[in-house]
Amino acid sequence: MNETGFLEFLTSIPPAFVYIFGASLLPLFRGRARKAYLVAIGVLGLALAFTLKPQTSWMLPILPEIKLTLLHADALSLIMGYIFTLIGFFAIIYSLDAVRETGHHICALLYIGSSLGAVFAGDLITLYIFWEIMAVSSLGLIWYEGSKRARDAGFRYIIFHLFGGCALLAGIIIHFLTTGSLTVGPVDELGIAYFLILLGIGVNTAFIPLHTWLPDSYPKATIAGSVFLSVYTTKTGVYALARTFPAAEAGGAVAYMGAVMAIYGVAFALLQNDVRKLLSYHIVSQVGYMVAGVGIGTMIGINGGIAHVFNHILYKALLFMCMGAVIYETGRMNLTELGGLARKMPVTALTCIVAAFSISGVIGFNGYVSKGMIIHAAEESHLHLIALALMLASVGTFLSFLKLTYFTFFSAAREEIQAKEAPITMLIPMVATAALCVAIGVYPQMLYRILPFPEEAFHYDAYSAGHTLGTAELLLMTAFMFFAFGFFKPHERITYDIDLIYRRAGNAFIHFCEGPLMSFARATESMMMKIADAFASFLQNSSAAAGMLAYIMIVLLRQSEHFKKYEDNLNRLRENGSMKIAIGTGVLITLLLIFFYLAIFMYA
Amino acid sequence: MLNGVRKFVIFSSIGGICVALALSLIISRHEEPFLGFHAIIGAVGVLFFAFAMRILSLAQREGRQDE
Repeated sequence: MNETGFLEFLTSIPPAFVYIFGASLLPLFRGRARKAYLVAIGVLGLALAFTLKPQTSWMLPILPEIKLTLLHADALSLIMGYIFTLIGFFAIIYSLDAVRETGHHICALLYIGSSLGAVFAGDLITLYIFWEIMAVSSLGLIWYEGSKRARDAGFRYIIFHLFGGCALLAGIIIHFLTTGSLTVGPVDELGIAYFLILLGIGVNTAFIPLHTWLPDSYPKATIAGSVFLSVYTTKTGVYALARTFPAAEAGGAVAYMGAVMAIYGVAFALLQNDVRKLLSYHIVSQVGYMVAGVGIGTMIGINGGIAHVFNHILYKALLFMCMGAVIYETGRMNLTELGGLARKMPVTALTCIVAAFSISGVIGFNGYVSKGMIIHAAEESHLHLIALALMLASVGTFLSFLKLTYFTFFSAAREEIQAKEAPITMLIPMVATAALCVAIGVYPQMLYRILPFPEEAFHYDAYSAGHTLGTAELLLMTAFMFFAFGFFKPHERITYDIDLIYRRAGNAFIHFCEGPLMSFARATESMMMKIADAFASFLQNSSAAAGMLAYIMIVLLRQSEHFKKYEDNLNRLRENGSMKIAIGTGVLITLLLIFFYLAIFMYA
Repeated sequence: MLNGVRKFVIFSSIGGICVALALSLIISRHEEPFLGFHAIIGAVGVLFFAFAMRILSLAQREGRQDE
């Protein structure tokens, strides 16, 4: 292999391999060497993703004539690869000091690797395999928190994901049997496969009402774990949705589902006191924007959805990093227990404001560009109700983040909080991510260039006078009303979502299993034991068994017409006083009885 | 008592809304259904979420969220 060939080979290695093989070698390193090794994996993954060329593929033959396509690079998978490896690199740096357990780092690397494997998968089987590795490896990020609440939430998380995985696998199998295709592409034919695949993807994408695992588990993960979790699972779901259901028959329904998610997530986020739970509900809401964009299905809609994936990963990871830094330094996670941290943690406060402005779509930040693109796509497609819902969700988002930043950093300072600025390994990725949020907001063309339909993206003017002034009016009015009326003060409340129904239904099911079902099982078992005992005692008592058999035979024989004639003759003979049976007939009858008895005895 | 940040945001947002409405009137009126459409959406949105919170509060109870 010459030098060019070797370089080509290097640049066609699936980036997922770096993380997965990297994870397997991690236990060999300790201390600073481990930190250096983790950073090296992040850099290598980043380099491989950014040097991948479109239409590169990597096949793995597993059986004769069956190959798994482990790498299929095109515009859509490449943009996902860029952002996954970029934020993976930042999250790895963030976790260097925040995480001590080797197992946690291994789970994080496997999670990044499997997510990359899923987005670069060229066939549905490969997608499914990485999909499941992703679910299991992310579970570790929740369980490493170590508390009972994290363990319980982890179980609920994995139950949801295994259910989604089963639905996806069943859908893939039926799809293959019907169409003969395993390509990761549009599922056009309405049928059971269509709905099973949509259901499987819907679990990861946190469709309402399949979303409850998200706000339940993400706030209970480790500090660094929730940064990783906020990036990969739901975005891989959106990617799979963009691949399989862009403007399909149910396209309208998918877009409306997005609008419902956007409003629903915000409404629940506003109720939250736990900072990471608030952020988790905002994932549901922001993923709603992406789902709406993909569901609208036009080029600008898909561009908007994918641009929002890219931007959302940046600012949401940044928000989790900031809140993680606050929890790391203060040990507090509720808004009612925080306040006045801006002076103690100025860099964290500043980066958090950048992230809050980005997610709220404030002019000049990255969220402004992609949100505008999706709302523009909805209006262009005459889906005015969706456009209105997304604008309302923008209001709710800004309210939530005014609440989060104000009550964490600017409300009355609490003297008892002894906090200082977060460690430098946490601050570096926070500042770098914040810089990217601003850079894309100010110069969105750098994002347009890598979108699935770049030409269409360049036709969209994010800074048109109407859009800019409209956004300014919307957000300024929201800020004014938030501070003037004070409707949204944090409270110590336990909030219930649809999971209340799941929990009640679950409890009712357990009660049913423990009560009526167990009683029925015990009654059935007792009856079967009695039958078995009777049968056993019957077989053990040979004389009783022979008598019973003879009796049964006689009863059966007496019912037959032939025997009735024979019996009549016998009766006549008995009446005449001359009943005689030949000795041979008597021996034959005895032998027959013994034969039947032995046969039954041997068989039993 | 309003603290400094709240005062600043309240007054600057009132000023900002006035400026945005004035600019909309001059340059981009044709891009909105009517003047101040987005400002009204903002106000309606805040009231909508305040109302939604009240409704959703019916399915809550007092206590620490991490319990």
